[in-house]
Amino acid sequence: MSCHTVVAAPHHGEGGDTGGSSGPREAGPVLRVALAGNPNVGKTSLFNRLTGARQQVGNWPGKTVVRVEGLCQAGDTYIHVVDLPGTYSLSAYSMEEEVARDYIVSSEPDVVVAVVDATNLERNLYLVLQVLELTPRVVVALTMMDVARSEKLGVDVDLLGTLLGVPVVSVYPRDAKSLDHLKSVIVDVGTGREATHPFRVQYGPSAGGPADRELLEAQARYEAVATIARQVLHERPRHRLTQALDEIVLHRVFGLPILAVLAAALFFVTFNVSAPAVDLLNSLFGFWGTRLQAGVHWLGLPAWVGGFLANGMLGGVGSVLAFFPLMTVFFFLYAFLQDSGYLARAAFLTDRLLRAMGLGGRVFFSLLTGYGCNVPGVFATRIAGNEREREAAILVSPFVPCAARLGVMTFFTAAFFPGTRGALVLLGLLALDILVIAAAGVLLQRVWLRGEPAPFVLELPPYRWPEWQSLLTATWTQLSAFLEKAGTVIVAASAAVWLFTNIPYGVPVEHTVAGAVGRLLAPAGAVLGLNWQLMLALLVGVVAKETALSTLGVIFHAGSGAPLAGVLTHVISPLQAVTFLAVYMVYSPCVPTMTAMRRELGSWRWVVGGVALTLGMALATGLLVQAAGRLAGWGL
Amino acid sequence: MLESILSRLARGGMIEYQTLAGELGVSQGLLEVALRELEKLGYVAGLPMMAGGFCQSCPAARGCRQACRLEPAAKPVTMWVLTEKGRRHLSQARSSSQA
Repeated sequence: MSCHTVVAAPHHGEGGDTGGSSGPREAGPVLRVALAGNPNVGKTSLFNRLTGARQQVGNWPGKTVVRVEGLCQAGDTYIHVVDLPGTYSLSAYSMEEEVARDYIVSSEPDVVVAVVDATNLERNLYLVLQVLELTPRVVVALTMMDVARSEKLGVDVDLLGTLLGVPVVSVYPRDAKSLDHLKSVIVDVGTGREATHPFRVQYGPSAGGPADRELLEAQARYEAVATIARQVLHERPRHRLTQALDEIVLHRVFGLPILAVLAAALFFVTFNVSAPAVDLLNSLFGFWGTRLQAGVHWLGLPAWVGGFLANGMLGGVGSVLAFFPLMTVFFFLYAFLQDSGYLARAAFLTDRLLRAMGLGGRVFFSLLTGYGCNVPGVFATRIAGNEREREAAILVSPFVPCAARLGVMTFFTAAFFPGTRGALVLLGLLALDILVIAAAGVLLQRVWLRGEPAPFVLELPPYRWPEWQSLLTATWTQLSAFLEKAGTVIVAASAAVWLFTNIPYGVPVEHTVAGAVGRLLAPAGAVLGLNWQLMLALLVGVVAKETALSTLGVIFHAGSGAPLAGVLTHVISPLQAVTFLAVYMVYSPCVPTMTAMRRELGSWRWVVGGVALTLGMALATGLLVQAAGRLAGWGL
Repeated sequence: MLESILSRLARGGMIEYQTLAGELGVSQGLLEVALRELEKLGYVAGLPMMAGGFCQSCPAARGCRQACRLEPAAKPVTMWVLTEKGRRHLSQARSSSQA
């Protein structure tokens, strides 16, 4: 019973049927067979092996879904095979499901072959039960049996056939014998030589409306799937490596310390690997700044041009660009943790920590989504939940340190606390941030919310060794965004800050417009022990978080020879630096985030309230860090 | 099983696939497809974890090239939460069982 390929007949009639069960094409009758199945179960591979390479490809009438059909022969019977789109169900919620369902119902194929992946039997059976509700002439083709065996997953094929009431055939697409067997079973069922007694799901009465009826029917199908699966499956052990690692990294006691150690290691490696390159870039920007000023002088251009190019541009933008190597290493390691599957576990552990503090999942949700960028974090709160929960989640979003803030914090920490100390300081700050988020969340929950915490089911992917290409792509994705921002927002902010630090031109910076603004901020700075330059950096940082650093670069003339990191360590004490970082980590959302908050909360009054909350928390955090630093013997 | 998933979600807290599948006595694969079905029916919402996953639906995406580039390279991890419809259904089921 060899199969040879025959070019598929053209479409006829509605649904594009070809031939007919009674119409002989060449020598014998033609059976119309539909292949149905979940995506990635080997359906297309089976189709290709059955029909060969010569197939007809088109679209389903009126749809953009691809229709593939072909022809093969079993004895004197021709089998016209239509490959239905891969779907998980026939609920007709997607175009693919609609196409598959309509074909089975309207075109009434002689046989539907339900292709089932033996390694994911339970997942696949749902569709099989739906197909059985539409037609009794079904053959189940069980693929991936060899893989199932290698994974020590036992499937009782005979019992499965008995329970489903239709033939179940193990198919190996590369094995001609198994294909011949499948075709003979198809012919037997299609011609009625083999009777089927399809399994029917028992549906109970529905008290609710149509929507509830749908749920009830789906529920009954899932119960049936679970019952069948329990009988025919001999359970496979879970992925050993994943299980073994999870027992350690998700351990109730050791999980969080392991997370802390890994985070510390991440920062430690980031600091140490990138330090030489950061130093080199800093020196280069300083060197070129001096040369630039000399060149401007040599050309006979006004001195302010040299000042603008060296201090405004190189000092501002260069200060931010200097930590490009640091961000490269950081984002590479971050991508490694993400792709390896650990980051999802870290989220799981963090949720555990926040819940121990009495916080609901919605706060955690904001925490997760706000990493990278707070703006999508704000929009992500649109998920289910009542308005109050949503409002609270939006207000908590800005407390999450975004990628930009993490970058600046990493630069600052590396400058003041090189090596292991820096890693520990940064880790401590991030732990403090979690406490701040928890405090803000608890405050909002007590004052504003009394709802139930939002629940989650989280998919924990198996551990895997990340691919180089994937890691490099993820790293470059982050870096290119950083460079783009450096070339736009940071350039503009640096130019503006330079302008304000030079009006009127030629006077000490304390007497310029920027100095005047700084003096206005000085009383608040005095409470925290921060000088007016740091306060001005915080103010400009509201535009975009990186601009805090470029502002310091401009103010301290980082483009005139001395690198910013070196200047800062001379004019700011370590305690001032940590206090600044604690405030910077928590204070005010950036302008784009404020706009997003306004859009989602519907009023600027809310945004002002949100900003006031962050400022209050920033003040409290700064004072706490300052007090802790003094206790530890650090002086301002 | 679907009702059990909804009830479990309503109880709060984070639970990962493996544990929930174990509680329900089904495979992880079936749990995943059941969650997808519940999503289609509108009772739960599947959300990609991490900011990048939300960028596609973010109204500021067009103007904000940075955020949209933060899409993780790996397959995004999905979190599932109850929707308003899911909550309503559960509270109706609760009140009808009490009656």
